[in-house]
Parts: sequence; structure tokens; C-alpha cells
Amino acid sequence: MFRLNISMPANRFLKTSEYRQYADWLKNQDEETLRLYFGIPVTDYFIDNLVQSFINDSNNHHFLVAERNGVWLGTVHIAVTNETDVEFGVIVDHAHRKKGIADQMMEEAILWARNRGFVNLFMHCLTWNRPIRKLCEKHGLDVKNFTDGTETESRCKLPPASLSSIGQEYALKNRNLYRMILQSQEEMFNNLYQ
Amino acid sequence: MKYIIYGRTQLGQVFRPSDWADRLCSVFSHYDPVMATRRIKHGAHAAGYSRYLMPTLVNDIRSVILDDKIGTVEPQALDFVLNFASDNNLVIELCSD
Repeated sequence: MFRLNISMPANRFLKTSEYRQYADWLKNQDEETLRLYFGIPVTDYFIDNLVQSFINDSNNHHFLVAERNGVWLGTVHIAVTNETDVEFGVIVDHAHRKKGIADQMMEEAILWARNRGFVNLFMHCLTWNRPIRKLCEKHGLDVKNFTDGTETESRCKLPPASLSSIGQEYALKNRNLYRMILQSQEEMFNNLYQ
Repeated sequence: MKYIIYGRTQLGQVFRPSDWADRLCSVFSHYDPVMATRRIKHGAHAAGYSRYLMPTLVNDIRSVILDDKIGTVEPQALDFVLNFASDNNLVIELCSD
């Protein structure tokens, strides 16, 4: 029997009106994921307040979401810290790890930052968060431990935008659009060919 | 007395991670009798930040406002936050109110 299976997620940037959903998504992540991401145990109040501060300063906070059939599998928070620097925070839902989702989101987020003239990319994580450290290394970030050994800062210089990087961003946008369309038709196709 | 601790170093560099102020305030959210009561009554998730250490945005810089009354709840908390700021070379300003 023919079955259509669009397993790869489609990535998209959130509108400011959707930032609250990011707070809800975070609150649904397991405790360990949140502790690894923030470095401290966090409460719903903390998440709500933090996301509210992103809404209030939405020009400097952007979210790339990996989505499959409306379900968020992972997010990249892009914080613009000044005219030249951006900071990424990557989370992938526990159930969807080791599928290359973070890798794909990183690639797209880096292109986004490059094409908008940012020069320095920073990422922070706890030293024992090996998947994020590996992700940083894979994307060319220089990983450095802080003196107290608990936290790691990774950074890299982003190459300037080029015709090729702008073309790549458009290609990724189109790919995401096609994936979204195919995902929305997945059920119909499968019913049709059953 | 209140202090503003800016998310900028004395050399003018941005202090990272960008949500450092929220993280710091979250750690000290216990140090407020009102919040402690709320925590007991409604659970940890209902409790907010301590009134003595609040994240804020000053001139587009993520910062915290530290009230030295935090020392009445936990004397070491005041020293910890001020030491944190000086260890990281952050700009500290005395606040009038």
C-alpha cells in the first residue's frame, strides 16, 4: 500500500503574535530539558516573564520553529544583542532528538543571521550538554569553557552575506513551503490510496 | 538602598547569555517573604521574582534592580549578587529610590 510519509519538519519563523505559544511549548518540555537549557530549575512564572520580555523587545528576538503537521519539534531562539552580535538558544523536544532537527534549524538560523549582516554568533550551554557542544562544533563555533567549568560559551565569526547565501535562504524557504504543503496533504493522500 | 546592575561590562561589552538577568532573579526568587508564602500556598510555579531582585530593561540594556533589603531575608544574598556583578566586571549604579 502506498503511504506518504513526510518525516522531515518544515521550519518557519514565528510572528510576534505567536511568541506566547513558545512560552506554552517551553512549559511542556520536561524538567531536565529546561534545566539543561537555562542552567537552573525554572518555573512557569520565569518562562512567562522571559517570553513577555521577548514580546516587549520583539525586534531583537526571533524564533525559528521546526514544525510537523502543526506540532513543534524544536525551536531556535535568536537574540540580537547588538548591531553585530546574535545569540542562539536551541531546544529539540525530547521525543524528536537524534533526527537532525537541530542541525537543520542551525543551518537555517545561521543563514538568516549572515544574510542580515550579523558578524558574531554566540551560544551558551552547560558544559555537560554534549549534544549542543557537538552541534556548535559541527557548525564551526569555537567552544570555550568558562573558568568555573560549568558553563560553555561558543562563538564564531559569520561570513558576510553573498549571492549564494541569499539564494540558499530562498531555497530553504521554498523547501519549507513544499514540506508544509505536503504535510498538510499527507492524510488526504494516504486516505486516497488506502 | 537600591542598585542597578547593567548587563554591560566596564569595557562596554554585552554580558551573556542575554537572559542572564532573568536567570539570576529566578535563582533568588525565594528571598522574599511574600513570594515564600505564595510558594507554600500555591506551589513553586505560582511564585514570582523576589521584590528585592528584579530583571528590567534600562536604556535597552538587560539589567537587574537589587534592593539591599534582600540582606534582611538572607544576608549572604546581597553579597552574592554584588560579588557576581564585580566578578563579571559589570557596571553597578546606585539608584535614588
